[in-house]
Amino acid sequence: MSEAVNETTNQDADEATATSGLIAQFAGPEQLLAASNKVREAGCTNADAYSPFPIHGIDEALGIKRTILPWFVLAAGLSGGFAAGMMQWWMNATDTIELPLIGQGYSFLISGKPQWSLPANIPVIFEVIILSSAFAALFGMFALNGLPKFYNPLMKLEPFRRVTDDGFFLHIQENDPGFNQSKLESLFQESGAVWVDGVPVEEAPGPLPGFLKPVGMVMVCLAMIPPALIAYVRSTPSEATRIDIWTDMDYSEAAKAQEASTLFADGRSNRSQITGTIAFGDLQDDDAYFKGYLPDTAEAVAGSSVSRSVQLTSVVAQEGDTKQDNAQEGDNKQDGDKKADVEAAGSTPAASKPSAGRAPAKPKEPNYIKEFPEQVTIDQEFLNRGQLRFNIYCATCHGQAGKGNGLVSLRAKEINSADWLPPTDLTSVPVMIQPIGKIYDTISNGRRKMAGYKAQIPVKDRWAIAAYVRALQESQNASIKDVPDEQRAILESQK
Amino acid sequence: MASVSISTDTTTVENPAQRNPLVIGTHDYKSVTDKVVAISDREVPFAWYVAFGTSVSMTGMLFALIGYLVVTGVGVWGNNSPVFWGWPIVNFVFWVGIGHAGTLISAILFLFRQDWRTSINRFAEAMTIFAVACAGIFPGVHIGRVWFVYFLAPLPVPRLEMWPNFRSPLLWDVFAVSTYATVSALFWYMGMVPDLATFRDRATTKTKQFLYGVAALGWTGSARHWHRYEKAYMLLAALATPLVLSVHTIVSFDFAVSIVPGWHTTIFPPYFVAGAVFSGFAMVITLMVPARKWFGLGDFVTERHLENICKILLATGSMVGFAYAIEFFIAWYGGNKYEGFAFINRATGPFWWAYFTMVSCNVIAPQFFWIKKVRTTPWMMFVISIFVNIGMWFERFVITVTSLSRDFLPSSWSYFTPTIIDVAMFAASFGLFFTLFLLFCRYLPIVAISEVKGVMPKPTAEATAETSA
Repeated sequence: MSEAVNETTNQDADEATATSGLIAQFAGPEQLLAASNKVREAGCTNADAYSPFPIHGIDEALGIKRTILPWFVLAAGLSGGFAAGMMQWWMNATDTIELPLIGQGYSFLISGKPQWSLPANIPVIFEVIILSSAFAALFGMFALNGLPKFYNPLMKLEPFRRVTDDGFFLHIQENDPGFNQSKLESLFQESGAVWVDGVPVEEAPGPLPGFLKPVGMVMVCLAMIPPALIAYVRSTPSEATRIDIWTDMDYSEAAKAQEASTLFADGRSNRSQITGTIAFGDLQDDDAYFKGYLPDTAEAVAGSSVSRSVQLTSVVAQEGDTKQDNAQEGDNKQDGDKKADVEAAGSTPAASKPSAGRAPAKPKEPNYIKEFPEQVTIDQEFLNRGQLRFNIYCATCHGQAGKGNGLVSLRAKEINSADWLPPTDLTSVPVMIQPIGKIYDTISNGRRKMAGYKAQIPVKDRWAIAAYVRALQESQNASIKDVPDEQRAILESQK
Repeated sequence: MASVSISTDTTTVENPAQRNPLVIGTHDYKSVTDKVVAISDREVPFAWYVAFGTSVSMTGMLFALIGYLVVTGVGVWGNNSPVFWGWPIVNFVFWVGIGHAGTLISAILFLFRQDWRTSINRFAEAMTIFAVACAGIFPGVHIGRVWFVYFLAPLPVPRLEMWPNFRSPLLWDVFAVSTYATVSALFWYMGMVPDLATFRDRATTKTKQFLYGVAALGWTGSARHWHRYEKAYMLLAALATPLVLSVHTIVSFDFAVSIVPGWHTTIFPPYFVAGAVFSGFAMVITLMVPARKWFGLGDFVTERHLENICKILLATGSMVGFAYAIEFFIAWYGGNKYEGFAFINRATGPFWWAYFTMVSCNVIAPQFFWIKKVRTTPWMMFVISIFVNIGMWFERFVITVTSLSRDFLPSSWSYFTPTIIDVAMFAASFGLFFTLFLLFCRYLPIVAISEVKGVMPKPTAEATAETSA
């Protein structure tokens, strides 16, 4: 049939000096088996037979001991299975046991199921047992056989090329205890050997080419660079952003205000608040704190939404009355009496003079709270804050003492502004008898011509301003007796 | 060259006094080698190029479709509420099932000392490897973010900072199918080492000699090596047997571990395994009947071999038919109205046509093998095997889609239609399979030469004298 590619060397001339054993070819498996038996009986312990397929009985004929491969497979299988079990336990049932370079487990909490469920882990354990056993079987077999072994001196003999086709050979090495050249040769002839020859000596491998050593060292050095770089990068902090190949949806561009958008039907990126929703932090569920009144009556609720224009017409009339009263009495009274007025008026809203026909009936006022809400703690810092904020927002009209003589008001008078309503004197009795919730409400929503400031001033600051207003009222209606002792001495010395 | 007599194959004639030979014709060891080596040595017939060109272009179509899928998304398929598992899973189970026959022939028949397996096991194992390769594609690409497919493995990934859920059968699948692919490949390679050595020693070009030589690892057929080799072969066969049973059991767990009516039954593991063996052997017939004719393997793969395979088809087909009947019985006996409905729905609902295809192909078709004439005539068994292949695909379709399209909540019911991509990807997967298979036929030993030599009748003295050079 087709010729093998390599030329063969005829060893016959050299067999006396350059052989490492004898090889004989036989016609078929039975002959090989018989010869193998004879050879073993002749004392050869390391003989080997070669055939294209395994021959039954050849192991006993040659004295081949059972291989230990099954033990490798068992060991590999058991350790693989154990490792798979431990892996699953660590990965799914723990989250505090840390392994170096790998991290921690991640225990799943799934509807109260046990953390470590051995029955569920069995399929993977089983598969890993089989996988590790299979690897051990295959690679163990190769290792025990000394494969891959690409060089074999037997391959130099032409007839031996038939070993994978239909050749049956018997090979005894020189270092075999029972090796006796002439005896074996005659034994082979008796057994009907078709061909007998000496086996070439296994050549020692030649020296590696000289260039490999420096090239190899260079390659090793180069190969150390990537791990060194990785170690460096992982151990030093960096401000640069991580290189991220699959960003997926991790980073979404924020839309600029007024930017067009392709995602919405109206093409805008500006979205209004969805009806019926409240943003986090926007749920103002404490009316006393956020509104300054308790809506405990239906009229009170309705009254709270009364438009300021109606408030204007009704209370202008009321103001007018009280102002006249104050103007008449204020000059004559001592400062301290004003306080009595306040106390006398108590917590009731300013009484409306029943002036029939002069003004429409005053709408019912909401149930303003009379005490500061519990979220507010009045201390020096709070009052300082109130003072600061009052001076920023309120003093421009109401003046720094709250008298109504702020710069804007003075200017308005100066230019005789037609529609200017003078700011209320916050230290006057009508304001002093207002419940604190009403003052808060005025700051928030405005009163008559004053606009509401709730858009500019946060809730807590509004209460601070209201507290400061009370302080102003206290201070502008005080007598020398109310001054603390140290200060009084100073004041009296200045008289 | 020994004369290969193409006389009438009488191996199917039963003779109680004497076993039929496993290799017919006047063969000796050399002619066996010649015959198998010639398949890859001879000038490549034009038909091979035609077939190879077709399958390569279909493989190209497969990769293009996968690219389209990955770039666009899983929406290109027909998977949608409520049928979230459609053709991809059906294809996956179909291909994995086909793969199991090869391992059964290699491993289980070896353990049963069925020597007739020797002429078909290499071929069947190759079919297994390539079928598992096709199978593995579908779960790999159906996950959506395919570039994160490594999340399936227990790797310490900095981005994920999580580990897989080992309680999930979908994860067991990852381990099972990977193990199955690996172990099958190892087993197949190990079996090929002696034959690759044969190819090495009969190589006609330096390149071939080098490549086969590297692959053969220096095998010389030493008895000491054979001893360990045979031990390893037996160990691998003993390992592959529970492996094949466990892998398709775990695949069945994808369905059985859920609570979907029609899926949640304990019959699934043995039912799936029997079905896998059934479909796999059908594919063996589909491939083997033409191959033995075109490659001239009629002396090694005798009609008796084919008849044995048909008997296995009959047995497993009957098991599958029995499983269908038992499923119905248990659905009624168990009293679970959802499960009962699931089965009535299979037969009478909108997918009744799929159900009846399945039943006629799987239950009725193999019953023809009771007839001796049918199971000993290659073209007849080929036709039936095609029917079985179709029927087994439909079985997985019926299981997957009917149960999902109508489960607990009627308001969620919907009809499933595949898209053109579904169909094209399935067809193209055959392209990949045949590409690999044609390469195997061209370059690798398609018959286990050493094993056949071990079981063939002893060559006569005259045949040996005739052929020894």
